[in-house]
Amino acid sequence: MPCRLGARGELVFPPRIVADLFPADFLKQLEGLHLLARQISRGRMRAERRSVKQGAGLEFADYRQFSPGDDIRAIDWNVYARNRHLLLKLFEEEEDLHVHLLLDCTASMTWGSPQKFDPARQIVAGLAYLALANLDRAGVALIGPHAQTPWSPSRGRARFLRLLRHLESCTVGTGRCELAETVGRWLASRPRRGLVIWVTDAWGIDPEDAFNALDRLRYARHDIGVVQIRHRDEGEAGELGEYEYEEVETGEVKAMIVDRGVAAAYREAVAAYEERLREYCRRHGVAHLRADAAEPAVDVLRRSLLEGGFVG
Amino acid sequence: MSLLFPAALWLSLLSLPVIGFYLLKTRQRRRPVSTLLFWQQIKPKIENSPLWRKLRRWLSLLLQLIILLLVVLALCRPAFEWERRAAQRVVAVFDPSASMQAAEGKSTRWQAARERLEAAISRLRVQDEMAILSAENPPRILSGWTSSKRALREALAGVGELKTGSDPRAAIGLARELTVVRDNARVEVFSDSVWPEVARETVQPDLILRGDRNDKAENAGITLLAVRRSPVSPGDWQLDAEVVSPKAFTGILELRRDDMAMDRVEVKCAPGQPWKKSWRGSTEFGSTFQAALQPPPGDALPLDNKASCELPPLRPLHVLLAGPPDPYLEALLESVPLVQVSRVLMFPLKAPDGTDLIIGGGPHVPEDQFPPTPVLLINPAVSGLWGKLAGSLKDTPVTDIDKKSALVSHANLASVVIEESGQWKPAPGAAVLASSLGNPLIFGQWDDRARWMVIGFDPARSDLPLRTAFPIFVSNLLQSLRDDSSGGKAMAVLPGRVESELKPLAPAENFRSASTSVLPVFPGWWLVLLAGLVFLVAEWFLYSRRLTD
Repeated sequence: MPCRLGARGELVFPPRIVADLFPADFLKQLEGLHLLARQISRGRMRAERRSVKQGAGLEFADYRQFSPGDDIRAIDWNVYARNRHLLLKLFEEEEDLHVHLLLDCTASMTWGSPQKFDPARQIVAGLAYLALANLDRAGVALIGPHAQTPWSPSRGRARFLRLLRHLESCTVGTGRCELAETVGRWLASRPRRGLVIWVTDAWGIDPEDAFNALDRLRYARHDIGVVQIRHRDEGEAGELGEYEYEEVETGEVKAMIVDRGVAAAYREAVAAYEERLREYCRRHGVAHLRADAAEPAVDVLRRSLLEGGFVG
Repeated sequence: MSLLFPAALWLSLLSLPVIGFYLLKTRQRRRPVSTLLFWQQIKPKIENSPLWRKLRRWLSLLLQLIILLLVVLALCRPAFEWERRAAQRVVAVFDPSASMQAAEGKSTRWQAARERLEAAISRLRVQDEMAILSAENPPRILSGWTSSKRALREALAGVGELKTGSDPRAAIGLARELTVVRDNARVEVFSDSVWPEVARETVQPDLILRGDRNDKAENAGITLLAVRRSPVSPGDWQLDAEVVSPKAFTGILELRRDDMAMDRVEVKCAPGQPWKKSWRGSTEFGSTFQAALQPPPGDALPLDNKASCELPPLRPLHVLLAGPPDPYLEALLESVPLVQVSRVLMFPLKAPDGTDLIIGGGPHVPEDQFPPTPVLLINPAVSGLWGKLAGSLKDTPVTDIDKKSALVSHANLASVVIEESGQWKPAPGAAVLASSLGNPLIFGQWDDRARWMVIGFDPARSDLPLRTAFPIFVSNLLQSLRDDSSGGKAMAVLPGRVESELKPLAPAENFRSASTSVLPVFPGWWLVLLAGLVFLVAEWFLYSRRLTD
């Protein structure tokens, strides 16, 4: 659905919502988040990202001796007039930041009410909007058991609505999905280095799966952020009794009789796993944010700005 | 073991729905989860659980079936062999004597004994039996051997309080006889053992007395209040009173006659020594005498502090003379108070109603049989039912007198001179009251079976009319007719000296205040039910605690 720019350059959406997943209120709130992000960035750095490469930018970086072949337009003639030395003025080259948003599309994201997949997509949309509004390039990769068309990194807020439709068309796939392998498959497409934000519940096929995936991202020299989204009930064993637990991803069934001891052991196992993930992120400089599926996505995004450290 | 209600075994079919419902209930519900990652992590911990936990589900079903079968078994009323062997059989002898009404704390001994007996009935189990006797005279069987608590309680309700003492020997003897017909039976006496001394022989070491021995009870009481008329002077009466106290006692005894104050005397009792006093008077009318003793503080038995006896009125005696007029005899009879005389010519076959004595003589004697009315024959002329006349004797002095007979004991016949008397051979069964050298002069039968008397000589031909012996004899004869009806002695109904002194006869070793039986009072099927309850708790522990397999 087309949108237009307002008098102050903001996105103006028609009264009809894009989809149930992204109501008009949500989009308006994203604009507010953009303003908040600009306020935060002003105190730290310019809004736009600067590359480490020196080149044709506006910001002075350094001097160096002129050597043949250099662009004579960069010679500082004032210095030559005073010292008779040919010094070349170097400028930081400004370039787009590539923000890769990895969306977990495994079946575990459909668990609970509301499904984790919906707030996850809203968070991805919000992060993409913030990136686009920051003149960065935002792309969305779908991490799941089945191949789905990714959203290639692109810039310009005009593309945001199409991104929303793409997100709405995303589905989860059932079946066994190893996170590390899927991430590795995405890395094999040689995405440009940038900021990778992984919106996931971090439930792998084994306790090491999610950590292996993060290792792979680190080894590819990406800046990494993780938004771990889960339901509060997932940390509890639920009502005591005899049950057949069926995993939504694989359909695997495990019969269990849950008493108080088992419930406590389950609770401890979940807490230990999450503590391990948090410690991993802290140790390797990975921004980590944990969100509840019932928490509004805008609140999660606001928290990501204030405390997450990987947006802006 | 035998089952008293085997039809309840059909209820064991309930095990089928139990199994069905159990399988339905234990069918596992499916719960979708986002990941099994953490369940796989804690799985090894669960799998290392003990074997019995793994079998918990089947163990739970097994326990449920056991519970059901135990409940069914309990409903079948099983009778175990050990229950039969351990049966308690008791003959309870309840003492309702007056001393049991003595105060013992806030209640009386009677109430305490009754409560003990009711408690013993309550403790009866299915296999136990009890019989209840009331130690009255004669003993009364309130209930034969029975296991029915209801029947025993109804029988106990029939125990009445006596106002007098009782001798327990007969009751205890009867109780011992009842124990013979049952195994392991024993006698338990619910009494304070305030019994007469003659009952000491029954106090054997094995005699169980249910109660508290109390020889410290203080009591002063009237043990006798009796009035009687003089046998020789029918209008005269004498009232006797007796007070007893085990300890020294000084009090007041008030006497009332026909609700009018009669006397108020001070009573001083030495320990164990009775205080006695008599009052005399004369009247032909009836009177009621009441005595009231002001009891000392702490007097245990109020029953003996009041007494009442009644002096019956005298009624006139009707004497029928058969034969020609006899002025002397008529004058003699009329001189006796309250005697009315009438006369007929012939000895009647049947006396008119209300006749108390028929006096005949000479030829006027009964022919074939004595009438039901008492008969006095004076010098009968012929032989008859009373004896055989063999001839006559001259100058016969009275040589032998039966002093034991109340009729002649006060009549001085020793010096009576009889000119001529008949030579009599009394009829069998007749007693000779006076005789002359073996020849019966006065003889007859004067008891409950028959009342006829013969004077075997003519008083007119002796000096008997000149003596007081003859009027005394006739008067005694007439007063003896009163003994059966309105004359004689009237005594107040009192507990008596033994009861008033409240001294227990049995030693303390025989007293056992409470039952010492340690056997459970509940029947065997209760144990079965209890076992079912234990299994139920175990099943609850296994299932509701949801132990893992």
